[in-house]
Amino acid sequence: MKGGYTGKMLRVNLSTGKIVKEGLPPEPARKFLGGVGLGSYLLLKEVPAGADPLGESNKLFFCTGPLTGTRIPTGRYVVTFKSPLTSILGWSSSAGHWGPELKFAGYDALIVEGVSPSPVYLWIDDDSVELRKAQHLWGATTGETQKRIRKELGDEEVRVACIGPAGEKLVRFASIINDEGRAAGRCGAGAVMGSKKLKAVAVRGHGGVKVAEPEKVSEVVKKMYEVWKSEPFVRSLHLYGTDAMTSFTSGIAAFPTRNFQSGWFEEWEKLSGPTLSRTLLVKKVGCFGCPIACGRVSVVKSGPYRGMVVWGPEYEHVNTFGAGCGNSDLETVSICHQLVNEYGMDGISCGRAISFAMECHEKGLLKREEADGLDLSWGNGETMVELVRRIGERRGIGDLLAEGTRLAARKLGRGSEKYAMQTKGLEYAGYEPRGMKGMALTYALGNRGGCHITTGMLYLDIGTMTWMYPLDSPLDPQALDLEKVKAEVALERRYTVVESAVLCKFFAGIVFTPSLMASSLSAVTGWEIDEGEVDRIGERIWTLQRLFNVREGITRKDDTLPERFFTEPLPDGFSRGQVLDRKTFEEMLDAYYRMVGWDEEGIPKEEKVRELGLGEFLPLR
Amino acid sequence: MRLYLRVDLDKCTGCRTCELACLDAKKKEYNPKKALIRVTFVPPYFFLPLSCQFCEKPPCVSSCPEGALEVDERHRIKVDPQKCIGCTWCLNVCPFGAIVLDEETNVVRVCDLCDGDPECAKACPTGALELVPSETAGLKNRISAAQKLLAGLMLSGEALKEVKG
Ligand code: SF4
Ligand code: SF4
Repeated sequence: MKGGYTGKMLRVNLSTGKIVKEGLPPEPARKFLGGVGLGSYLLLKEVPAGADPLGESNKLFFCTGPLTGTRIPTGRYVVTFKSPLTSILGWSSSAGHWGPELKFAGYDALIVEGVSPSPVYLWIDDDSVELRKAQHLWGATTGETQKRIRKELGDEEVRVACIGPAGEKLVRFASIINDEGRAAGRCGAGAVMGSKKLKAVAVRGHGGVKVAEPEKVSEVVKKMYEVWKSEPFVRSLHLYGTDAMTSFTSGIAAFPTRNFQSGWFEEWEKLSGPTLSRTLLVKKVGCFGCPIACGRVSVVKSGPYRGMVVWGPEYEHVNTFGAGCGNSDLETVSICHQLVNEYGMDGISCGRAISFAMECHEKGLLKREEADGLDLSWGNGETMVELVRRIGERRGIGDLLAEGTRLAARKLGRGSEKYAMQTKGLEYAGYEPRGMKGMALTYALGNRGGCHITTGMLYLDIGTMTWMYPLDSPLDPQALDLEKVKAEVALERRYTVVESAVLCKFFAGIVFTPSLMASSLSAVTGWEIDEGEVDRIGERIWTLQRLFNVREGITRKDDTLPERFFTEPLPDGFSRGQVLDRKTFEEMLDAYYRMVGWDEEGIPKEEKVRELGLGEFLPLR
Repeated sequence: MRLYLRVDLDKCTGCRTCELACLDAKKKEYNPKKALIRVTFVPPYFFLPLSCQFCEKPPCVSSCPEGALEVDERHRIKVDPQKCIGCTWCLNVCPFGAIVLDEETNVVRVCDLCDGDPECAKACPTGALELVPSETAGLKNRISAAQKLLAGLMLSGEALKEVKG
């Protein structure tokens, strides 16, 4: 391999304590790149069908990509595993500096398998790798854990990815946190780490990443800087953080409100990015090599949490803990944000679990006594903060909500299923699919469930754009038609390549054209990769991920959304009256399956699987 | 006239683009440990990029046992690769940790301000790095302090933003 890779993987078996350095297999690297691509490949190959996500046979694949650690932004890693929240493919991606550091230590990927008999953490110091006792860290929050490990190892620049109490308690949507407040948030990677009794992975690297053609990399960097500077949406991410989005989604009344009862939150301005900048913000933070710096640091100004330093808040939490729960207080949002980070859990799933409980209460399905006496009225900030804590500790009602909305609804019964806002078990982020109809496809078809970021559809649906799918004129957010299906197909492929390279979806996802993506990959790796090949790799990985899910029992019936979106028109604002039409939705699904070469049950056809070079995974079941 | 890199702590986001730009210019390999500007995270939430300050009385120069370092006419630190024995004593005495040992050549490296047009400052996306003469270094700080003080007295936060642009 000419550039971009270190050529080595680290395999750690926690059951036996064995640590092995392996070569990175060159053929899969060429076919799946790295990140989520390589991770999905290894997952399908190494984790047996029907494996218990919290059992010994599940594995964690921490994969960087060829572009991680180079100047092309930004240095991310992806962790792939079977999800305890959804029981299908799970992956989660995080930036900060941990991913590049793993690569500087000399590894493209880290594979964690088995279960340790007692709590441990992994210490990777270039070539020397050891498992260390972590009994004394068990129970510590993520901030504490990072601090204590750095101190213990006597090096303030050690990068630590760790779990908090939520991961230890197997909260099904527990996250991994690195670099203070950067999260591999979704799908419950933290619970898998907790089940393996792995508290943290600390990394220090002194090596570097070589690229095949440095001059070409510099050219790419120059080009992307030109686009970046003139792209208004990306500029607003710098100015207002991801919370910039609040104004966009609110503008078209697609800002999920009170557990998706509406897309219009009357008090949205109190939650918006400009408000955040004016009130709580103290610092903008950038991940490794990223010019955008969408990260925020805020300080809580009043109440019992006064003085709390918050690494955020991010848009998704502004939605889930804000409008989603009928709450307009940005300080409450910020406290919840910091608490989910400290406990180590996904604020999207956690926020949606709380709004699920609030709606169940409103509909008379959950009594106050059953909720530990907490007042579950919409917008009750004290209750929300208390629920975050209870979920993180699996205490009282928190134990039920820690299961995620799908399982919690099943356990609660009483018809509460219709208030679990998820697809395939993964709760939705802050984009209302009746007002942004392309998102209906993205949510329904996402290989990790109801995820908002497997495509760039959300940019098209708010009427801005992504250079990954250049259009002559903006699409109609309220249309569900073949144009959207085409965009879904193209974008899921390209975004999957972004997640395998591994780049940031705010940066590459918006300012990169497919051709810039192709030249980045070829400049760094030295492989010949053109636009067609980018799409090809994306299609291959996407199909591979579907194969994993099909193996675990997923079919067309799972590619759907809750009843609410088909039967309850949105009540207010720009999107008033908008609802999904069942017949159109099914037609679009048919069209999608045809376009990607899957049969009408959503199973990839054999010839398609072979054509993509995935023959080794046949027969499917 | 002595030039050095002024850092605007409010603006720096800790993105380390400056490190990468330095590597692009000097090493063609992305290894931040070899960059001549390094960004340090200072809890709770600050980032400080540090590079050679071109001290008026540079301890690195005066303590080099081989006399391998000297201050040139533009007030930059010049390393004589013939004389440097790679003992890293200068690393020990530099108060800013601004010297790097090149493991390939076993000779130390110091920031040379890229011939007066430093790549790191050009690349910094927030404009946090600025090449300023030491004579006027205090000026910017003084102005910004004055603005803040006045703002506290009589201007609203909004108006301050306009003043600052
Ligand atoms: S490039 Fe600028 S903002 Fe980024 S770390 Fe360096 S000085 Fe700070
Ligand atoms: S290398 Fe260090 S000691 Fe020498 S002039 Fe620069 S800052 Fe001063």
